[in-house]
Amino acid sequence: MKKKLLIPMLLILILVLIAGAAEAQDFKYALSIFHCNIQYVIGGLYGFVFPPEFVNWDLGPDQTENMIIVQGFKPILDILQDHPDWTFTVEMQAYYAEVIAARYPDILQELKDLVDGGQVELVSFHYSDQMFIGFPYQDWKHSIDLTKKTFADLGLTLSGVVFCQEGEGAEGMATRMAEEGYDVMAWPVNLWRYLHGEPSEDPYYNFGDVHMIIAAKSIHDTVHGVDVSWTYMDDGELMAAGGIDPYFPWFFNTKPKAVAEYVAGVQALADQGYKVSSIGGYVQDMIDAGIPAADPPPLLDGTWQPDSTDGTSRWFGHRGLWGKDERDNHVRSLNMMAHREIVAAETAAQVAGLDRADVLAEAWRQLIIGETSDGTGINCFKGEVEFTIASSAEAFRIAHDVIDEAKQALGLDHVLIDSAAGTVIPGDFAWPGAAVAQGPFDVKIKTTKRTWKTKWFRLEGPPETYRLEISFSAGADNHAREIYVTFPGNTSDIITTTALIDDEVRTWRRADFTFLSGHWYLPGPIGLFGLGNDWWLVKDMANVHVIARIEDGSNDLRIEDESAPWFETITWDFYLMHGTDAQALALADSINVHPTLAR
Amino acid sequence: MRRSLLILLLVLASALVIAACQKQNNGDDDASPAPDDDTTIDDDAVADDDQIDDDTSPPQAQNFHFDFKFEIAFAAHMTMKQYSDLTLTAEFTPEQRFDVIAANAPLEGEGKLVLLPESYGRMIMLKFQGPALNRGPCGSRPVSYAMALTAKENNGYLVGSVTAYCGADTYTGHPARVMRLSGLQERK
Repeated sequence: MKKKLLIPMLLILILVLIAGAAEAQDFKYALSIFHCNIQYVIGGLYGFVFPPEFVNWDLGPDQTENMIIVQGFKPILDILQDHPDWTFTVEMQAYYAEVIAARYPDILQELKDLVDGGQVELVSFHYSDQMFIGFPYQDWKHSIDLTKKTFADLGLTLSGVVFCQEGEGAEGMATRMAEEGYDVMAWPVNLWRYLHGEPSEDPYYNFGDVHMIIAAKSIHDTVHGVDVSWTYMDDGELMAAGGIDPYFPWFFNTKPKAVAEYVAGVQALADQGYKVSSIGGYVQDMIDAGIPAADPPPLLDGTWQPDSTDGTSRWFGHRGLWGKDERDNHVRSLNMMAHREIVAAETAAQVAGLDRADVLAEAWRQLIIGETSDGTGINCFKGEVEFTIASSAEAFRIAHDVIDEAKQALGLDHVLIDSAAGTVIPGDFAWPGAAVAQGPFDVKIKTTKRTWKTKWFRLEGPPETYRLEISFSAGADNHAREIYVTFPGNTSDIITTTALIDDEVRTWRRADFTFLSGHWYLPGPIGLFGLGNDWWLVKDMANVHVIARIEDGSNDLRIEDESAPWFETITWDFYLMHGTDAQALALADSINVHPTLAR
Repeated sequence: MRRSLLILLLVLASALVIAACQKQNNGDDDASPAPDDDTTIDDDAVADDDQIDDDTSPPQAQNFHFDFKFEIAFAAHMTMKQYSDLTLTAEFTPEQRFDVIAANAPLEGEGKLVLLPESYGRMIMLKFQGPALNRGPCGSRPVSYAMALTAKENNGYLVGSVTAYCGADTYTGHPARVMRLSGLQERK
């Protein structure tokens, strides 16, 4: 009797094990992200390393873009033509698609066919490769609207997946993703690791009202039998070029051997039963299988390789390989000057009864290009620095002309344009507040081979508000490139705003993070930081838009610029306010997002 | 990655050799524009509003000269008169031709100096009209150029753009090309 029972039980057990194995095989995925960037060398290679007589190296902007498309991008599509069962995730800025359409209609058609056939999961969340986590929501909103229009006009269908330039990630993106119809965030694994150590084996996560996967994280989830391998997660152009990037045009070309090696690797996974899949398809399969999404830990705004770039510092103050030509604060504060000029121009035109939306659309486009990450990092050279300055300067010029036109229409020579209230009244510029001997607390300033002066001003309150003006002399030599200003904090909490959400203060507990290097950098997209005890710091971002450092074991917040032109005088303005979250948000908005400008 | 680094090192080594040769030729180091006061404009260069209102005599001009880096690797020059009402006249001469601009053909233009006290900034804005070049994106249409140069405070090093638009007296719409300019503003 016992033997009779034992045999069926063994049979059942074997069947269960076989079923389990079959289930595991059903969830084997080979995923990819080809992060394609036509602004890899924004502005081209004029003056990069070699003087212009080395013509084959000194490619202009169009030639550089063409090289990137032909040598780096097309081979990705060609692989898919040869493997109709495979799907790759291909991310690009909308501007990339514009250039392909203008110069390579055959490649555009190839891309379109692959998108329509489900072989390219097309990803785009910004028009240019914009460092949007350091700027007001409005800038990205213009960018995403232009992105959607561009792809729609070209007949290219965007997927619901989001991956961004420099792997930008921020909790605030979840809200905007849901609003704009995106449903899966690809959060970079190294950003996660920097904040929290190695992630779990969970197949996917909740991200606000949408979902999230950890990009480049291999998964061996024995609970649900999910196995994920990544075939690619890097700059898309590097695959076919064998790891050489477009800064080296003599060597940046399609290398059949490199392509063959990549294809062989993917084929090996396919032969093992891995589905060479889209990210969206993978997440949908998890949902359909009833596999629950895990809840992520708190996440801070950042980028995909925070260990090597020291967080976001390389784009907001710190220097790279060609640091001698960097001037991050000039680039990023000019971005904010242009932002403010455009919103003021919109107000002025409206009050004057002028329809200049089309004119200002180009100003926004130029600003979005000016906010491209490569103007300040990772290793930007002079050509890239000045290209982003040139675009922002033109954005400013267009907007300023509209303001002039509006003033003429209104018959006013000197006006105050309040872009929050939507008013234009006669008036001249005046700094707010009266000089006082001291501010609410001591600020530590550290420079080398520069002198400085501080002035405090008390603004009319309530709330209690001060303006701090710090004027730095020109430096004696290039040791004077570093400027640090430390504000004392009274809390270990991290208090600031998250990218794309400008009307909400967010607070993270420091204890919820294990920073890999013991510190972290906050971009501060509207320039607002909480210091604790209801004190707030607001950077005047048209003067100072460099990074804020927080450090384990300290409550202080340090503003850092390590790329200040040593031969120039510099003035930074900060506001310090004692008040509520709402008052702090209103102050930051009135200075940085919707200011009053005298013109 | 290793290959990239190796190439980078080789390229840098070559560049250093070339740079050293060039330095022997002209001794110029564009990474550090001369910081001395003689090369930057001073406070007197900027007229305030009171001067404008009270001044009934012909506006006095100050003359400036720029040797620009044009599109990073090339040269351009500009002479500029700045009047007490902050209006400007200028002659801009690029040494290098591109598809939207001719080489060594001076462009005459006018504009204004915009002071931006709230951001400690200033901007030189000029507009130039150029002839049709019968090539490039503008083809047989004349080309308009908007120049915007930016600096903080009275620092002499300006960086910005000269942006080409297709068509006469056209400074809006989709530009044909945005080109880079940088250089010191020097009093003549």
